[in-house]
Formats: sequence, C-alpha cells, structure tokens
Amino acid sequence: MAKSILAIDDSASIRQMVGFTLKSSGYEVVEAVDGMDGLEKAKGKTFNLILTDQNMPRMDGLTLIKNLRGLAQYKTVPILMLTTESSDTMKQQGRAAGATGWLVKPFDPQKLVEVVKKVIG
Amino acid sequence: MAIDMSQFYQVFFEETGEHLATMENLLLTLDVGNPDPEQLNAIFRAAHSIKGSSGTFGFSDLADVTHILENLLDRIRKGELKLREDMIDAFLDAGDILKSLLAAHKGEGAADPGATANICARLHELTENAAAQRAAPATVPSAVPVEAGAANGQELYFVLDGDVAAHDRTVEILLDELAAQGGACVVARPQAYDQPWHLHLTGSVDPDQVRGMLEFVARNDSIRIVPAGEGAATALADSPDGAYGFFDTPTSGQAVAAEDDAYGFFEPLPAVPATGAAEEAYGFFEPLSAPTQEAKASAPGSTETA
Repeated sequence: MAKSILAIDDSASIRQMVGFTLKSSGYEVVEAVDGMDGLEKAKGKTFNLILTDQNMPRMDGLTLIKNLRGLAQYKTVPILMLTTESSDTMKQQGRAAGATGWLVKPFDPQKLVEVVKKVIG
Repeated sequence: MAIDMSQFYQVFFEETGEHLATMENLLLTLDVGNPDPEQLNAIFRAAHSIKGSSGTFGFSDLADVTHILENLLDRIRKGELKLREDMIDAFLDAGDILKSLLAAHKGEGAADPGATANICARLHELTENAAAQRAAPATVPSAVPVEAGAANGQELYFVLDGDVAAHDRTVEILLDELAAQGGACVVARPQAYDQPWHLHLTGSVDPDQVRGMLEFVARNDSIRIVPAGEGAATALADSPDGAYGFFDTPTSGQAVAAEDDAYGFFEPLPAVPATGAAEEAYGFFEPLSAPTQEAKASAPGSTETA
C-alpha cells in the first residue's frame, strides 16, 4: 500500500515537480495550493507525511503546521517545511510550530526523494 | 531515478508570466507615500515565488535578479527601508528585464546580459543607499558586540550567489575586509556551487558587520555565524551546507541527517519501518505534542486508500 503525502505549495510548477517525483517513487500524492487548502485536505484523510511551503497566500506554512498539530490525527505525523529561508530564526519558528524538519529550496528531485525516504521510508 | 525537469518548464513559464503581470499591476497602483502592506506583501510574494521556482528549474539569471529584488522588497515591507519613487521605477524595469529573460528561456528572443547586470547593480545601489541613509544618524562608533564564545573565534558559513567563477575573488575580498577585524581563514570550500563556504573568524569580529559584508553576495538566509567549536550543526541537526536539517539527531545512528545539509529534522526520527505500517505514529515531537500512545489512541483509523 503506497504511503500518502500531502504536498502544499502555491507554485504550480513546484507542485507539479514534487508530485511527479514522489509519484514516480511510488508514493500517493495529493496537492494543495496554500495553507488553507492544505488544512482542508489534511482533515479529509490522514496522510503519512506533509510537505509544505512557507510563504503562501491565505495561510502560510507555519500557521498551517500549528493548525495541523492541533488536530488529533496530526500530532505525530511528520511535517517538513520546503522553504527558501534557512535562517536559524526560521528553523526555530518551524520547530516551535511543530515541524519535523526542513528542506531548503531550490532542491532537486533526488534530494526530495532522499529526504522523504529518511522520514517515511 | 533521473527526472527530466524540462517537462515542468511550461507550467513554470506560465506561472512566472502571471507573477510578473501581478507584480507590475500592483506596482503601478502602489501609493508611494503610504503603501498598502497587503500590496507590498503580494509584490514580495510574487518575487519570492519566482526566485524559488526559477532556482529549482535551473534558470539562474531569473533567480539572481529576483533574489536582489526580493531582498529590497522584504526590507521595505518590514518597514526597514522607506519606499521611494525611484525604487518603484527600478522594480518596474526589473520586471521588464525578467520578462525578457523569461522570453529568452521560452525561445522568444535573446536576453541582454548587460541590461540584466545593470538592473542588478541598480537594485543593489538602491538597497545600499537607502540603508546608508537610514543608518547615518546612528553611526556612532561603539564597542563591538561579541557573541558568546567569540573569544575563541567564530565559524562563518555562507552560500555565495552569482557567477561561480567569481566566487574565489569574492571570498578574497571578504578575507581582506575581515583582516582589518582580526582576520579569517577558509576552513572548507564548497564542493558544489550551492554548498556553503566555511570560514573561521579570529578575534572579535562583529557578526552584524560580517552579515552586512555578505548581504549582497551570499544567498538569502544562508549566512550563519556560530561560536568556534560548535560547528554549524549543534543546536539543530542540519547538514553541513545548511540545505536541510532535522530538529534532532535521527535515531538511525548518523550524527547528521545528510551529507550536504540540504534538509534537516528537528527531533529524532524513528527507524523507518521495513514494510507498511505507514500509519504508525512517530514519536519525535516530545515537547510539542501529546504522548505517542495517547495520540495513537485518539487518532482516527488510517484512511489510507492507495
């Protein structure tokens, strides 16, 4: 049974790349266009992993993570931030919000798969 | 598994075109004297988004211009710099340059490297001038703030932007500048263009000043300064080049989560299950969430359907 991943990014091209790459690696992928969309989709199904961009309209990644951690089914599901910001401040904010880790943009497909495999196998 | 990135170009071209159109429309309606924060945020987000995706798909010229643009916009939206009419003109011109670069990548015409360099220089100058004007009244020589542990020196990490061929020269200039403050030496050179330089700073070098020196040559937010001996991966278990990290050491045994720091984890990761069991709860948010057992008990059954 394929493990399921929710990939949230407001960039259609990044979503397409992430989705294609992970599906090619055997994962089931659902895409969301921003934090709000991501939260709604996360409520409808418990994913094995959530990948989220930080800077998005309507709801950013940190707010999304805080919201997800408030849901019983997402207390322990790994959440990775895909972010162009890799400052220590951003990392501390990510950690405080409840993120599992981060992956700095730009990243290549191989790196993405490497990180996802580390987290959910 | 090799992924052909060119299959994503069409969507990238379309969304970048849309971002540039949005940016232009917002800039044309912006009130210079009293800019709407939402409008500023939307302009920033457009530049930020173009930077992120153009970097991902290898369009470094677009990424370079939007990087400088984004930096200046970020400081304006945070209220660190005051928006001026000549900035708006430069932003609109930058938008035109970005359109021409995008067209060139689509095979429609040729890019003008001279014009691209000019707009980068103009945006740099605007950032520096505005920052200098703002800082001028407060430029009082004072004791150099020294971070804890700086007595033994500090470690500096940064990823350089721009032409790789110019990186050595950039670092030489930086070393010359740092020599006046106690000196610095290169500990490790990057193995790839997007990995960090590692310098050891001796003496009481002011971290803020170093950040200032690197601001326009290093990648946004790649600059890290830590007391000597702590290395880049102490508090956070990120990899040596800062490109990733986990919030603690993965339990699989390795001290650092990956070879190249492109990502990271904040807490220990569980051993990856050999098969299935994907809905198994993971227990690496001890300070942040309910106990694993409780979470498992309260979680609804897996809805995995694939």
